[in-house]
Amino acid sequence: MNSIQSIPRKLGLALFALVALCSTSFGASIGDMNKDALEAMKSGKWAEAHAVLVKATNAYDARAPQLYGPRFGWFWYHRGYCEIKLGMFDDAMKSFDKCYTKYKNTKPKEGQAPSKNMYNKKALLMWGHAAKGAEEWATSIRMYKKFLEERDPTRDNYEKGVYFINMAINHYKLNKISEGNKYLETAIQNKVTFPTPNKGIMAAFNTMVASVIEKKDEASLLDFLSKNRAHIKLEPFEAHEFSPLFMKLAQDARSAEMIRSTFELYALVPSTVAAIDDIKGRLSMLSTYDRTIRDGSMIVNKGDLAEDLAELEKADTAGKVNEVYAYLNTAVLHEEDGNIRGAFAVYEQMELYFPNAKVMRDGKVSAGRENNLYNLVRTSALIGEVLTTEYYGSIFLKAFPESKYVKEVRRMMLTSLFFNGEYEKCIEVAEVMLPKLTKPSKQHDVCLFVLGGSKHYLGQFVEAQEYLNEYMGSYGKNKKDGDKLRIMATSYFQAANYSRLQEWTKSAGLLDKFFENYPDPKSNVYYPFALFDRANCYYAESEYDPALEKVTQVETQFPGVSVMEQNLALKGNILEGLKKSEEAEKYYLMALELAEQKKNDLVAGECLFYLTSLIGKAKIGKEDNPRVAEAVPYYNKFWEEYGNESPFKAKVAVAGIPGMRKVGKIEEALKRLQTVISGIAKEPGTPGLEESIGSYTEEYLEEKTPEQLKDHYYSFPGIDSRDMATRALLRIAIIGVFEEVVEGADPEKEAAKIRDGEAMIETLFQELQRDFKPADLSNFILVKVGDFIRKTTQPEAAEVYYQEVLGRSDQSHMFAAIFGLADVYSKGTSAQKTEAIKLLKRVRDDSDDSGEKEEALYLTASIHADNDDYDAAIASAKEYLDTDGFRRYAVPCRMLLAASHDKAGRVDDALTGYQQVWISSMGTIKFSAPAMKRWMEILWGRGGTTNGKSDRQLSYEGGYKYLKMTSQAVKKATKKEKEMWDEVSELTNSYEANSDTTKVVEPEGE
Amino acid sequence: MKKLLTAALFLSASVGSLFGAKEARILIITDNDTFTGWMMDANKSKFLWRETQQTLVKREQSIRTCTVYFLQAPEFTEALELYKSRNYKDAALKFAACAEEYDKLTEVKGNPATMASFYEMECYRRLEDLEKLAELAGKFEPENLLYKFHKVQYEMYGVFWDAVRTKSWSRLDAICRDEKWRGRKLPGNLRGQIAYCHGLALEGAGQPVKALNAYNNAFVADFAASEEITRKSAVNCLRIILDHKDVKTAMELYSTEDYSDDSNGAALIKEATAILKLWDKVLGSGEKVPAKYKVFLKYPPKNN
Repeated sequence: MNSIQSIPRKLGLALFALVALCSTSFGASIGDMNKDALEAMKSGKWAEAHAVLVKATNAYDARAPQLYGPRFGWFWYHRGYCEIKLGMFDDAMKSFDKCYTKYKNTKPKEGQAPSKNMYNKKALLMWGHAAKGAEEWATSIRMYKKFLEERDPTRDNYEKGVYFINMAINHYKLNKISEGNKYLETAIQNKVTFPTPNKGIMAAFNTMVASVIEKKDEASLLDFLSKNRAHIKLEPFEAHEFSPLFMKLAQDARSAEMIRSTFELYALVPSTVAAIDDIKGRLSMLSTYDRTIRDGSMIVNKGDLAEDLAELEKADTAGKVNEVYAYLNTAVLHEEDGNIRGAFAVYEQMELYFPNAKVMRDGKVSAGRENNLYNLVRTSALIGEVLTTEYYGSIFLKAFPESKYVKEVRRMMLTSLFFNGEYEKCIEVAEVMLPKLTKPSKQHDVCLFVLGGSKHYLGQFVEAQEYLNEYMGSYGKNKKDGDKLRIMATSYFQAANYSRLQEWTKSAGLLDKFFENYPDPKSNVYYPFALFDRANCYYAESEYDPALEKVTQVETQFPGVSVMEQNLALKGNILEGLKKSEEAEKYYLMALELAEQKKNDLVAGECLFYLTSLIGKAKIGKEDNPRVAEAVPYYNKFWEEYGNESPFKAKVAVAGIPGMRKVGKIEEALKRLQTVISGIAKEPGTPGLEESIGSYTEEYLEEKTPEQLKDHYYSFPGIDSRDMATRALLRIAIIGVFEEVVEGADPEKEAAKIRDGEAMIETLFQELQRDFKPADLSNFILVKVGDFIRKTTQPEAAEVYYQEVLGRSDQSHMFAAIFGLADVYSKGTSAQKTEAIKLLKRVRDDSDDSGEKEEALYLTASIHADNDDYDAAIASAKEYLDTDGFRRYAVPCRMLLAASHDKAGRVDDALTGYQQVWISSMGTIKFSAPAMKRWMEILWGRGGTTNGKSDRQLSYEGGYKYLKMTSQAVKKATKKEKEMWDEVSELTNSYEANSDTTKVVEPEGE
Repeated sequence: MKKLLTAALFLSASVGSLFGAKEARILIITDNDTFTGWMMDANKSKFLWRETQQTLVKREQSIRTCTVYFLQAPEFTEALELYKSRNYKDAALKFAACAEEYDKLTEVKGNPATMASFYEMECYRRLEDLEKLAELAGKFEPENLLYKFHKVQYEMYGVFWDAVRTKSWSRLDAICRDEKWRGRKLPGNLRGQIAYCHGLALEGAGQPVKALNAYNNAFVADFAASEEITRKSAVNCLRIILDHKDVKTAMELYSTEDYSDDSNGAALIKEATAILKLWDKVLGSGEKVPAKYKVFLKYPPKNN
């Protein structure tokens, strides 16, 4: 506390008045000086007064003891007083020294008039003040103490509050904190009676904190606050004045790493709105009263309150409020110590309640919201508050579109969203961002990663694959630590996504590479998932043994993995594939139990389907299944617990039919199936609709005719007339039934039935083409329609149906569509043929239907042959013929092989090829006849000799024997086949007539 | 010379009825002048006062024609010092006594009885004696509170604290999210209470992790100045984390190769450790943290 302010004006003026009364006893000149000095001091003209007093003391001090006695001390006292006012503390100390030591009150010498220095002892008090001003703390203490010892209590009054405060400050300055505290506590505890002004208390408190910080003695401060909180914690209207001081002290304490003290000091800073409320309340009580009120230790003045209110309201409106710094430091402290959530809480409060906060930064006042909001987004992302990151991130981007943090905010919104499974939102943001980002760049890297990963997780596999491949191509080889996690994740997503696209070969290759690059499951969170996917690939390729090994690895080495129930179910599938039904059933039950435990209804429903299907088969081999009825409890459980939501409902409805029939509940089962059909028809994309209709059709026809079925299906119960997809499926089912009718009819006896059936089929297909747009049709229908059209004279019209299938994320019937499209292209231009071969390769690599693979390979060979690429045609044909289990196209493939050799000019190979055809498929006229014809022609043309017999004779004899051996078979041949056979016959006859041959003569009796 | 108020002189006999009641030191401000005196009794429209406590001459003053400034009563000052020293138990008793002593003045805005009753409730609120708080709040008349935020605080007793008392968690959760409260510009100590109550509601509704956010909001709302809310919020955070199944798993796995610093459990342990550090610095207000929570210190991250 500055001693200048410590002397109340009224006391000073009273003293001056007292002295003035005595002034007449000085001589005329010094009397004038006394008067002039007093006048100047009354007016607060301290320098003027000081000049007069200096002149007086300089002129008279040497003789004053004799001339005026002790009372001359008045001049020195007031000279010192002016010097204090003028900040001349050293001079002031000398002046008070003179007043005290030279002008002591002694008995007057003889002849001297009585003289008394009224200021002799008070000079000690003022000396103490001056010494404090001169920062001579020890001297100040000494003088104050001396004053208390020597003063006359009846006369030498002093302000106790000021004294104790100054003594406290002096001790604090000497780092004597506990002694200082005693004085300050005395001043505080007696602040009403002394009185002690709050400003003084705060000045001492300030000094104490400075000393505490210097001495690193935080305990003293905390102890002091604990004892005196009631007095230091001022009412908000009073505390407002000291807020900057508290803030400064808190900052000093923070710098000294005295954190508890820092926050104790922040706690003294009043809330701005609370201070405003406090002032308004007091002003309402004061009404028009404008004089100062001393209310206990509080000083209340309307003018001051109004001024403070205006200042606070202005600060509040402008956002320049003290507590902002306290909040920001709180955030920093929490984050530094690792409590990010605490920092997040602060920044959220800053955004909600102090969005206009201004802060001093680099000596300038600037708006804090941009930084605060950025930090809010950042910390929310760190604690995984995804939606909050998204919410505030959006606000940030809108409010600060030009900010340097924009990219960072976007990135945080994305990664935060992604790792918390908010994939829809990720896509929403990333799709907008991606085209705007420079590539390669960190932002592009993250955006691409999130987009690919999100699409993968949401089942948008086709689009996901493009992004994931692009990511691995662009960033897959980055070496930075920060990128490794994304690269590892994307490596996995890329491989797994291929498996979802049923591109098993690619998926398997990438998964194997993934295991090679990230072999340690401890640092590879995707490891067990990759094993599961790899098992799936093996299973799809019917490679059950390695599939079993992988699922078993997951089962034994990763017992807690989140896909365990799926893994157990897959193991059941694999065991079923290995014909180990009992074990398969055991694993389905294990999977079911775990899925139910984890409330994974999807997998539970799936397992019940497997169990219903496995146990509820109508026949095992050719024998009736004795356990068929045991499937019914699983069937019932499915409908009771999972039926409504499960995507397997159609499959279960179908699989349960044999069991339900066995227990006499076929009507119930059919009714259920009908409900399922109409139900799943309302949920586009639900698998199993066509299978359900197929099963229903089969059961319906047990007792009804195809015509009745047609009528029933044209107005199927529960199917809306606008439900194009289902209506189309029902039409296809009718077509299927009539196809069976046609195929099953005897051409000779039931020609009319065949004709009617074919007419019906054609009409139904025409209706399908006319009534339904491709977009309305399911993949199954599209393929069916496509297949029908491609076998007509305008196969290219089928393309649109196949392309519709391939453009969808629904992967069902994909390979059938690819195959159909390839077939269409195979009849097109050279470029289309090349495209067809690529498509067929896809089928061969990834289809899990061996029939499709077989057909694809044969068609590939055919296209190569059509393209006159004989070597490729030969290679494909040989591959086909060498593949175990491929038999359907064996004959045409041999024919194609022979023809390719033939066209390539490899005579011997061609002969061998044709010979294999006509020997192995003699009765199949459509192949054996052309093979024989061409074999004869080549041999005839070669004109050599084999084992002593000429090629021409051999050619003729071959034809002769063929005609003889197929004479019965040709009776059943079609017209076209008969024509082919006749060509062989004509050729044989012409060779027989040639002079190069000798006619075969059959022995008699044969 | 003071002007005479338009007050009637009362008979001295009526003073007898005031024996035992305290009179409040007041400043009466009218359009024309000001007076100091002692308020003896009051109703909604007028009050009785006298210039000195020695005189038997009482005056009546219409409340409508003046403003009254109550100087802080010594009993109130004493209670307030205990309150500011965080000695809420003793402060509550003193405030109750003060309220009783000045209970004839409750009809006047800013009177010491109303102020004392308000602070008495504050003491019980801070002590989380919600039954007592409900009892006091039920009979309290907030109209003559002087400050807007004191009235808001009173409203919060009924809205928030009573919901805590009756464990009406879903209702409390809805109120805490309501923009009427969430978006309101309130002093930090009131926001801290709302956040704390929200934490309790979320915990009560079985959403402990969300409650962590609410409790963190509570202890930063007024930079830990509301020490009781701060401490309880911090302890609740530690309890939630200790009870979390992922934390238990992380602790079980800590000595095995299956432990990962990146797991949710490990992250929560790290958060709890940070709160323990902050407890000593700021959250604990000098009190010791319950020993059982020091268990978190046994599980530092393995890869710092």
